[in-house]
Amino acid sequence: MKKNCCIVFMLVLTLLLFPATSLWAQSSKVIKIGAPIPLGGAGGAYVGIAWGYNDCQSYFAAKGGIRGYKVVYLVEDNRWDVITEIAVINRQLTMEPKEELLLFCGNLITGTLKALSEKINKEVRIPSIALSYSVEMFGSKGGPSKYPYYFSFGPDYSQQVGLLLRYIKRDHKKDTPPRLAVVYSPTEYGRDPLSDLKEDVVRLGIKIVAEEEMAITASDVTAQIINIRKAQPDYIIWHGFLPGMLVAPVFLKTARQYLPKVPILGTHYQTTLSMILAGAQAADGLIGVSTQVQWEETNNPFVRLVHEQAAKSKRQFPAGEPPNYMGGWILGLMAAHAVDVTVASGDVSREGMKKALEKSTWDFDGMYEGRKFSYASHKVPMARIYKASFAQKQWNPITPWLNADEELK
Amino acid sequence: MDFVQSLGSGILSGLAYGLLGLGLVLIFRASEAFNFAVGEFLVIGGFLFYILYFGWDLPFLIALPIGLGAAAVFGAIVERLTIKPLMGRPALSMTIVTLGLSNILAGGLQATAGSNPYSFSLGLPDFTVELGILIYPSPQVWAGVLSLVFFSLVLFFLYRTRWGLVIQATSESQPKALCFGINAQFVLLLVWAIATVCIGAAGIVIANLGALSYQTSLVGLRAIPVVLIGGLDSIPGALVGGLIVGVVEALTGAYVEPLGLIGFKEVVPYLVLLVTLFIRPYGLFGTVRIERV
Repeated sequence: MKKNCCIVFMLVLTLLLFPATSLWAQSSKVIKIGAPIPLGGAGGAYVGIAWGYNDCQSYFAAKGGIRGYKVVYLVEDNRWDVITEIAVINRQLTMEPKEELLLFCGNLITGTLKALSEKINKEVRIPSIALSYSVEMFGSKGGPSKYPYYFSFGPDYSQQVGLLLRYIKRDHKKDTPPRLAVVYSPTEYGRDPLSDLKEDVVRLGIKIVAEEEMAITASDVTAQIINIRKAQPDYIIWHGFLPGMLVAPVFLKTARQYLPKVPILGTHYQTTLSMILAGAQAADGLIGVSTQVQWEETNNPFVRLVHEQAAKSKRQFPAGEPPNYMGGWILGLMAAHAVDVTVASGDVSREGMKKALEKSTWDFDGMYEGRKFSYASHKVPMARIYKASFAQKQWNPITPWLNADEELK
Repeated sequence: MDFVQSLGSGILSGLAYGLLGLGLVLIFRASEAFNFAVGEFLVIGGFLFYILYFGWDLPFLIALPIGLGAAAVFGAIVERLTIKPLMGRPALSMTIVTLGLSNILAGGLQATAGSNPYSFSLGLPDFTVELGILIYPSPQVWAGVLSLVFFSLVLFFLYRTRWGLVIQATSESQPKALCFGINAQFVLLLVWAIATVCIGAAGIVIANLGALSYQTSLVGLRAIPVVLIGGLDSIPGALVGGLIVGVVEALTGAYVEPLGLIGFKEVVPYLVLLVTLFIRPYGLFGTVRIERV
């Protein structure tokens, strides 16, 4: 009798609790986003990225999630290292439920994208938004037809260089064709846009008069700068360098000594606050194309939002870190946008997210000053050309936001 | 003209490399250990000066000796903590300790100074040398001049002072020095302090060519061919080795790389080193040692 009573009690309890638990399950729908970013290793001191990503997560958590979904960012250290990043991605793919882990949005180094291209694009088929601007992955030789699940945050390096070439064409006032020197690092990253650049200059009537590689560990580049000086260029394009690389400030200082009047133009990673801080006076007047708005553009709604959240979190930034903090926000917001359009589409799956992203048009919370972009090409095609001011320690815009897909048609 | 330009640039860089090499040679002569943490010593020397000159706005002539003095204290502390306990052990164990030290210091530097580079411009009078189409920018000229001054000061200390004589005697033979009542342990401490000053001074002039970051430590790798070409225990060898590496790099950049051998400049010091070691295994000025086995 006692046993039967127990069984009946358990059944009643189960019946009573079932609707409650199912309701609870419904209200705690989760979408997870794999976010490998540098927290340790060579890039570990770029604390702003993690802070930005973290504050963005808190921002959406405080809002109660996105369209009823709780968004969990699986932030994990990739040490800015391909091997580590691959391990992080593989671990997350193995451990997390397929119906919850819908997106990777983080550092995603070009080397990682290459190594995992088969797995991500053919096996697990998970959308992956990368900070890579690789021509091979996102340019004319890659793109959605070859890598259908890869997305990028900006125009690829060939497009960035293309925008700079058109700027040169507009800026050049002499009757003779513009004479261009090209400087790059002897890395896959440095050589990435070269072949497209060489085709583009022919179309635009620009003459390449010097081409120099500079090792990223070089402490003296006088020989290369002298070679460039002999070629008498009107402009120099440099690509494939990061501010932390030993050669970057050495190049700027040496170039300013030997070629004080020749404008130097760079791609996204040369257009950073850290580059101004590293080059000091030699960085003054540098021109660069950037895929993201600058920290100082406080009239921009996106920048205002980031400033507000930084103040709320009482962030004390080390020198050079505010743009990285904004970079963390850009990663977080892009992931949030992906969740938003996916849930709105009704197909909450990896495939659904890919389709929703491809169909989406967005203004990145006002970052592009009213301009919207389509993600159909798997690249945010927006970029802007800036000029460095050492006195102000900032990059000032010298063009409006440009849609590379339209500008380079 | 290109040749003269490249030669001059190479000599100016080479003088800085020579000063860097001198730091390694001093340590090797005193303890027969190779300091693999040379790159990190270089950056720490640079940062100590940076704090005083750029952080505290001290005048250059005050910040420089205090900064280098701080570097000397740092070198002495490192010696006390890591090298002294190994005295009497094979030199190889000290060398291996410096490998570990290199990793610890690199991590510490990154944790404290971050990954972003620090702008580094000494603001010294403009000594740019312009002769027709030849140009030697002021930071390069200062790198050469300051390196030469530091090198000369260390030579003066070693060969013209009583303590220098003591260091030389101890470097010659520790047991004999002990027999003459010389405190060999203190001499070793002194040598590490002076060597750190040399490396730190090289760090300052090299950072002045670009910027200062934890990655500046990579320049320390240049010291390896410098001292092996010149001879690990030879002070003039450090200078000659530095000049050879500087000139070879500059000429390769001017004449070989334009032929399509891009990046060859980074490799060529090691090729020269290889050839030198084939001909003279102890370097150009190194002491030939014959060991009975």
